Amino acid sequence: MTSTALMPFTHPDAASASASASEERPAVVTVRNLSKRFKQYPTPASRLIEWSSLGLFQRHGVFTALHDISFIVRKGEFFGIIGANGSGKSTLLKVLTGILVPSSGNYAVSGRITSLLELGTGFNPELSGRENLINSGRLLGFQPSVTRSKLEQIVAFAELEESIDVPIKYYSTGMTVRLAFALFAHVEPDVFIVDEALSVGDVAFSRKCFQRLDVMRASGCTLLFVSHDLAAVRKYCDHAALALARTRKPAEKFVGFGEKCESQANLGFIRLMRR
Amino acid sequence: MVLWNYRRFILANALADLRHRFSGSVAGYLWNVFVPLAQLTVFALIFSILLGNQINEGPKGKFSFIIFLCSGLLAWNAFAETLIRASSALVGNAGYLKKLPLPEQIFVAQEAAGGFFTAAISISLFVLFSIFIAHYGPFWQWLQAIPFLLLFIAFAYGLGLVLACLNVFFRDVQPFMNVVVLLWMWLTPVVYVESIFTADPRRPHPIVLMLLHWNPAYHFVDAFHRSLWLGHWVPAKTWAICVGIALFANLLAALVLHRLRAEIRDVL
Repeated sequence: MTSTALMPFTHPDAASASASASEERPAVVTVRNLSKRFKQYPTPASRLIEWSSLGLFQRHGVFTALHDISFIVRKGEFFGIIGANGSGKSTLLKVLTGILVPSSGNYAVSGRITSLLELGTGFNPELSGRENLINSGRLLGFQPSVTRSKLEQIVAFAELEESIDVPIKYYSTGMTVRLAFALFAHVEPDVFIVDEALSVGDVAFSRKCFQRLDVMRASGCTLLFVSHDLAAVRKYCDHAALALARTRKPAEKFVGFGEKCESQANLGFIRLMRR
Repeated sequence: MVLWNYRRFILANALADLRHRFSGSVAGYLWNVFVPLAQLTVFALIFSILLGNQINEGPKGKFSFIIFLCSGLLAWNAFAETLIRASSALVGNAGYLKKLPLPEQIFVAQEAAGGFFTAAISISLFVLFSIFIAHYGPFWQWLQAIPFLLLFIAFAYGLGLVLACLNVFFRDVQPFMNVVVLLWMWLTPVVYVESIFTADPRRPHPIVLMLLHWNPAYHFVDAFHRSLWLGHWVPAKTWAICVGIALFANLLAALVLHRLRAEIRDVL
């Protein structure tokens, strides 16, 4: 069982250089000593035994997905989260978006947080692209009139003018992603979580997405970027946190990543804040 | 109130679900009418003709049994269907709950809204049948069916939410409920008249009678019988009991959900 710790880093030099500039901006995402543990029961029956004995007979094991994480993301930052599969990135994002409840510690997000993880979740394959935009908007808490007023913009961005009235079960994966990204990019969240889903689109659209992210950022949106793509993280992010499985040697990861990124002026890191 | 904030989503989904439930079939939406109609026909045939069920109260004539049957069974069907569908509502919508920070209740509320619509339509049809074909009514007392339907569905919502939460951890709940609901229907005087236990002096079953009256669904069905079948005003005691049951179920549901919410998200 690998449990992990997500470790925020700040480059010693970059931190001191950018410290004065970033200190003044308000913190949008604050995470303090956050841990997430999952109870694991071998069978449903063992849960029944534990529950019906009112916890007298403990039958569960504990899996620690996140261990004592602390970091701060400030307004307008482009914050990268990097890590291997199973290192707890998704768990962290699910906690931040309010889907999972942390086991201990706390976090605060100011404003509306929207995640591309939610990509296409609200989409009904039987409905057309247009109807799905309205439906998903409703799920995200928008009045249909608000979504409708932005519909032209969204459709134009997704470059789906011709197929917007076709049921999305006939869309390709890339088209669905474009539609979803276009919707999320136009609902003006305060914090926007972007993940691997973005790489499904073609090169031109991917570039367009990043341009859009720059626009959003300039208007005060804070971005969390979850990726395996170190090149993209290096290119766009101001800061990065590295999610590590505890079984790996943190030092190796640290050195390898640190060396490569040192040439990038705007990427600040990397100091372990271990428990 | 969480449900109020999501009312658009709940209503839109409940209606879409009714529309799409039989999508892909030739008869389509008509199945929503055929299935209950077939059930009513079977019960009416078996009980009124084969078993010669005696009905001494209510309207007289060849439609007397049908009117009795519909007055209770239509509401019961909505209750039973809401309960069964609600118990799998959280597991069935795991796709949403795993990715969006939506409140759990809305998926149960969606089933409850669907159950309410179905019952509202079928009871309206029954009222039309009663007035124009059976020449019975209309009565002001019939209007009591509206608040009682709301209360009955509110009871189903509360109980269904508790079951839905438990079903996340123990998938046994849903198949178990199919059996429970079937048994429950026969323990409730829906297709037979309560007076078969009370009127006949040779069969005074105090235990059966006690079981009957401790059954929470009995009071709701009783209210429907009094208002729709007999055209009487429902006594204050029945009102109080039904409101109490609906409130209690919802309170229990709120407690259970509050206690289990975090773990539900972990397990889904």
